[in-house]
Amino acid sequence: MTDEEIMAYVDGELSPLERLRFEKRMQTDAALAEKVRRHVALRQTIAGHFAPVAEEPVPGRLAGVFDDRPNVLALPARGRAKRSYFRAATALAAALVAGIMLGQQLPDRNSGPIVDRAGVLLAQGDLATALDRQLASAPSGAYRIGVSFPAGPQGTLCRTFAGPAGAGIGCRASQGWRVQRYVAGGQSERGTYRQAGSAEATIMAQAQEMMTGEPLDAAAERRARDMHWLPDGK
Amino acid sequence: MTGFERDLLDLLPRLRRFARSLTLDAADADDLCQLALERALKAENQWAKGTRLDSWMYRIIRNCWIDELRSRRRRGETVAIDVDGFDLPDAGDRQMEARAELNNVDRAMSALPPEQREVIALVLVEGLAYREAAELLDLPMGTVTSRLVRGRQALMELLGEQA
Repeated sequence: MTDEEIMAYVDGELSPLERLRFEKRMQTDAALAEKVRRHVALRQTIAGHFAPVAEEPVPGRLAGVFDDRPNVLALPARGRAKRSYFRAATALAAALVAGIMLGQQLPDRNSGPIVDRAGVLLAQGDLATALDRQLASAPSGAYRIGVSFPAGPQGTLCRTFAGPAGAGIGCRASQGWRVQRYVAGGQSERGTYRQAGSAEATIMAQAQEMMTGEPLDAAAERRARDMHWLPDGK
Repeated sequence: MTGFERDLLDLLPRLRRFARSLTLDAADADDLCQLALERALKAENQWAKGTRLDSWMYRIIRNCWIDELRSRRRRGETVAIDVDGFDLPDAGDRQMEARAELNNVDRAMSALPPEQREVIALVLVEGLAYREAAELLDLPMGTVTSRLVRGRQALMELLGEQA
């Protein structure tokens, strides 16, 4: 087997038949198996070294490029790796909730409704209270709650909200409500008015992408609130 | 925010990763991403709907990086890299080597000539298929695979059993 063939096998480039043949050969050829092991290890080392970059918060200045557009705090979609070994390498960092921060235009990140705790964005004040207590069916106060739904492999409960400055999604975490997405609406820096409705629509679309189960109905929402938003009452 | 902008935004984490594996420097990588994003937003009408936005962006980033390497070379900064033909495989980036804090993988990657580093980045880090990488780089498949083989051999030598 040439280096090129070994590499093609490791990179998932062989046809199913070629693959089968290659694997048969590997069973009887220890030297080949060892070469393959080294190639797989190299691929994992290289991929694993750069994978965490995709989980880092995106610096605000990159968001500046989208400046005259609505401000969005968004999360990366989880790595869409095609091949299992590559997936294994990226899985290291594939926490559901690594925040990417594109919200440098949030007026003051630590005095508003959202506070930055070592890179984790948490709801505070009225927003935290609304997420904790408020039911979608009973709008009151500055925030309106949209839909509550499970997300991620653990079924973490998340809730969409809309308030005076924008709309977002908060997910229940041990330290409080992590703000996973936020789209600013209302008054922008340039004084142009953006309808809150478009921010909410964006957030609802993003919530749909995050959902890993049915959204909660009114009874389930009430139950979840009484269980402090822990999945399945755990 | 248009669908195009939102798609770009969703790609950002991966674009930053790609830029990092080309530049091996966090600040350079974000400069590169910024430049590429600005170009992309201006050139939105050049992106053919229905084609892959990620490939298009990788290509823009890669072209911006080549421009950067060229101008560094003109300023005499970054050494013996023939970025035009990618002909001088001997190129380690001296600036990079001088940075003691570089991780082993960064150091090994920085020792690769740029034309090998970019295929390693696209296939091993970004997970592209050979054909996708070849199309993106406008190269024949054979060229992509031979660069991959040479790049891998060099990385294995440089990283030893750590790889």
